[in-house]
Amino acid sequence: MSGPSLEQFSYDNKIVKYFGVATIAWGLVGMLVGLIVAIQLFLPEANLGNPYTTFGRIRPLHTNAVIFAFVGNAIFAGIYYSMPRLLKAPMWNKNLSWFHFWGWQLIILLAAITLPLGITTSKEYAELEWPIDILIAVVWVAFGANMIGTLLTRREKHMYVAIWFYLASFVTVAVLHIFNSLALPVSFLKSYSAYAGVQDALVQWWYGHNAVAFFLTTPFLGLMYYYLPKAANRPVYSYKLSIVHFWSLIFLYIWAGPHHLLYTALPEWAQVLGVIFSVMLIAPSWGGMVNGLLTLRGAWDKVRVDPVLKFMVVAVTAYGMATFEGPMLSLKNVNAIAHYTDWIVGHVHIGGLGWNGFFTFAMLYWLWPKMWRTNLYSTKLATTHFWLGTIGIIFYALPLYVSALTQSLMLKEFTEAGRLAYPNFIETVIQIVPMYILRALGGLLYLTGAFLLVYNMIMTAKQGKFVAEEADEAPALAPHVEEKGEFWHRAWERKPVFFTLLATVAILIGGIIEIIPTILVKSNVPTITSVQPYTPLELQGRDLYISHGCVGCHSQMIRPFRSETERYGEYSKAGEYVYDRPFLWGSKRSGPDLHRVGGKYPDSWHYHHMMDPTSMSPGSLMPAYDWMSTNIMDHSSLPDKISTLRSLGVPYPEGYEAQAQADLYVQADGIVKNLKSAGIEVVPDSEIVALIAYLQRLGTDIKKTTASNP
Amino acid sequence: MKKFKYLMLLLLGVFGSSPAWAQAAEAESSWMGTLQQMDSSQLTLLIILGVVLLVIVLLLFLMIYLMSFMSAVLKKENPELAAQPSWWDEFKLKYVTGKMQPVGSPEEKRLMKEHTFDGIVELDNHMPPWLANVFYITIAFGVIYFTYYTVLGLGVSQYEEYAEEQRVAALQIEAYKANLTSLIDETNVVFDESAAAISAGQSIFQANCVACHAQDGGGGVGSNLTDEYWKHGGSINDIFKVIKYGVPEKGMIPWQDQLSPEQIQQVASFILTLQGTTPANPKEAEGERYVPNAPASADSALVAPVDTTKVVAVAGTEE
Repeated sequence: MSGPSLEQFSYDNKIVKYFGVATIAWGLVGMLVGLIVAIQLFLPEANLGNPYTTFGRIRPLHTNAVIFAFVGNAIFAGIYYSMPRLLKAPMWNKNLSWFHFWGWQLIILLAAITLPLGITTSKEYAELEWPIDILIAVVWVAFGANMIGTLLTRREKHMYVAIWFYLASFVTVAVLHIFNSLALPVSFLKSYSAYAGVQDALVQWWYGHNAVAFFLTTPFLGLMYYYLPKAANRPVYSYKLSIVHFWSLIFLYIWAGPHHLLYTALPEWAQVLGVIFSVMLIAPSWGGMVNGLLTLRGAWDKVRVDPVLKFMVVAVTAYGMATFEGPMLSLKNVNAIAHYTDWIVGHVHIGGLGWNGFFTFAMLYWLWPKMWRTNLYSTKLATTHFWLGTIGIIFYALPLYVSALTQSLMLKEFTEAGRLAYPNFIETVIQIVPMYILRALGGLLYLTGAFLLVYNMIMTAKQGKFVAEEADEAPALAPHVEEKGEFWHRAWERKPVFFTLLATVAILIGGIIEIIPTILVKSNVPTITSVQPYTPLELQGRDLYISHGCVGCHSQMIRPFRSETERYGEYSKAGEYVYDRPFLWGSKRSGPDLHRVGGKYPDSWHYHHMMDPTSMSPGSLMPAYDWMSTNIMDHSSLPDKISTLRSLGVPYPEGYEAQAQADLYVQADGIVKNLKSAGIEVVPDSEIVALIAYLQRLGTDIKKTTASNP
Repeated sequence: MKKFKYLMLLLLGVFGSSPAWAQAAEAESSWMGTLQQMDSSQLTLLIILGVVLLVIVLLLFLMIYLMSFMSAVLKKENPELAAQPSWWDEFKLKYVTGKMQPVGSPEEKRLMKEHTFDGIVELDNHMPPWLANVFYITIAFGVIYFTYYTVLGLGVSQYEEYAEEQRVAALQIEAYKANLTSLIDETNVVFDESAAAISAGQSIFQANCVACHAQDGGGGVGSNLTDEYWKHGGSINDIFKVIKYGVPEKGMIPWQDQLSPEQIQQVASFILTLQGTTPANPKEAEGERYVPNAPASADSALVAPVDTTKVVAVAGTEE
């Protein structure tokens, strides 16, 4: 290349600094909330006695904060640093960068406000209501436009593998977010899902699983391909492997969602697809780990002394462990034991704390000295952070595996006489409380380590001088000259738009094949005639149940196992959920399943249980919801809810809006009377009445065919 | 590092055959059962087969040892042979590790791609063969699994699995019941005054009943169990029946799936000992007054005169 044609330009480090600081700040918040929810699992009083800080509402706050705020900002920091350097061009549009930054922080702030207030769709990792969803889509597209713009103004002819992963992540997250969030608004802060029951479950877990894949995995693989060879100063082991594992990973991942719904009412062909695509994911996932670890060949002596590499090695290894465990958990017989238990919580935290957390720490420890033109303030402190974090992960995950196996086996145990050995769910919970305490200790260790990072970062910045704009030079992109024998993939790498389109096709196939038949083919959700829409009061109770995040601990999906049908009643059928918008199957049973709780206990039992769960179930770890007896529910939105649901296909008669209120009070008065006969005084508009109405309805529809109305 | 890889490969092999693996685990109990039911001739045959298998495995090990010994001798006699890679080295090169160039060697330098990205160099190594093989195996697993379950529909569905689980359980329960000398039910239950029974009943009561009926039986969500008024009858038979089948429309849960008949008898007996005690917050009387010496059956006539507690006796004499 000739010297004179070099162009001068500079990289924006300020945006990287801002995203980096946001990563650390939100990371501390997210982990702290995580610690609080972990403590509430053995000390329910730690909810401080109000709805805003109770488990059901702040568990989603924790997941959203760590995924979208901590990991999200880390992705953006990592990309805004690496992408311009890999393309020898500054980010396309600085205003767009700052719009992206502030827009994303605004979304996080709105999440932190709305979730504790109970404004939620209750779909996991997609809890935010529709106005925020629209904002997310806008900001995300701005981020994508900025990336594509940078690609189009690049001075580097080919895209490096990191960029492939960034592009695939952008496209897929956009598709997932938009289709999973489709909903019809009732009001500014309430909407009903466009999908119902089984279909909603499938779409949600297509999204939920791929949020893990394309938000927590692929962007980080991209980051790994930049920061790991940089930190180790070694060549990337295999270009061919990166091609194979990139395409196979993004194509296969999208199919695996149904493994979250094994043994449920999801059609079995979809479950089979979920199983096999999860198993086939082992090698593509390990491709990333292998390429990372083999890149460290010849750099292992550095791992001993460099905390950045230490964090990276554990991160990549944790990724390998989690991506082996995932396919194993997707085998139906393993899933039968592990699903709904703490095993899954342990599994995701190996990935979250190990892979995402540790890689983020490594990246920050590497970036800070680079951007401040100095050395890391204290290698010793960073190494201490590494060990605190590693021990934290072990203390976090191992107790959960023990707790999961203990509880699952207890729940499945029968006596010789053919009865459940532990008929009360609470007996199994009491057994695992010590494990919950250990887990919280693990979380505390990990969080303590993160505080060391904060101090180290501040001191590093203090001793250096921040370079806001880093100058570089490169020749302009020369026009393409056809070359003979150009490797086919090499050709793709110089066509960013074509490449992006191909990746889009690859990620669309699986979703289309699984979702469209489930929605369109009637036989996938056989109709049950006795299943009727919720009454107005039950609907209100259901929305209250959603708002309090009850689904965080209580599933509504009885699997066809004897240990579940004996405990909870008849297994759940697809046709029972056709009016459930959103579905509330849940993913973790910290308490018993509630799908057939209707009619199991008298109204007064529910009243006492909600006021003080330990009064009806001694030893219970459920927090008290005593405010429900005095809080008055606003039923004024009812007509809007009815008409919104009718537009979605729920067969409420025309004009039912006018009668809904009256019907609601008739049913409410009945419950008030029932409670009164048990010596309990409540007003018909109180929240508890609506909740009892909903709970007493649950799972009773299929019994109507044999029994008359109560 | 290398050993670690073999270990992973081995593990994968084990899990690759997972459907069979897992089904074996689930069928274990019935497999044990089959073994127990075998007659001695079958068992002898099985043992002989096992021993033969063991001998074959031992012979195999011996052969491998002899071969390695022979190859060592051969190599000593002919040094050229020693320089040649062993079959294992070749196997490793081809199927496991692939050719790994030494770090920093000219061979590795030759693999470097010309172009660098922000100083990052890529090597044009092949994908490690073991990883490619894992990929092929999992794809084969996927194809077979999909064909078996979805295309051919041979695999059992989750509902068939459930039906089988229920059938096996029903047989087990029947067998269990057949072994019982006597079956306690609501027609033949008697008040068990033994201290052991009453204290067992008390702990069952504590574990399951106090939520609704209070610690001292004074009632709350459920009825007061200390007065002589009963909504569904106050005889041991009636109480047994209420506990067993519940009164779902009034909120009393059926306990027959959770408590054995003996346990129901124990807790029903304990409940009768509460008669006439004074609870802290008694619920008002509900239902009909029950008089113990108006027996509904011969059995409960036997109950009344027994001096279970003074209270029952007093209640009896009151009439």
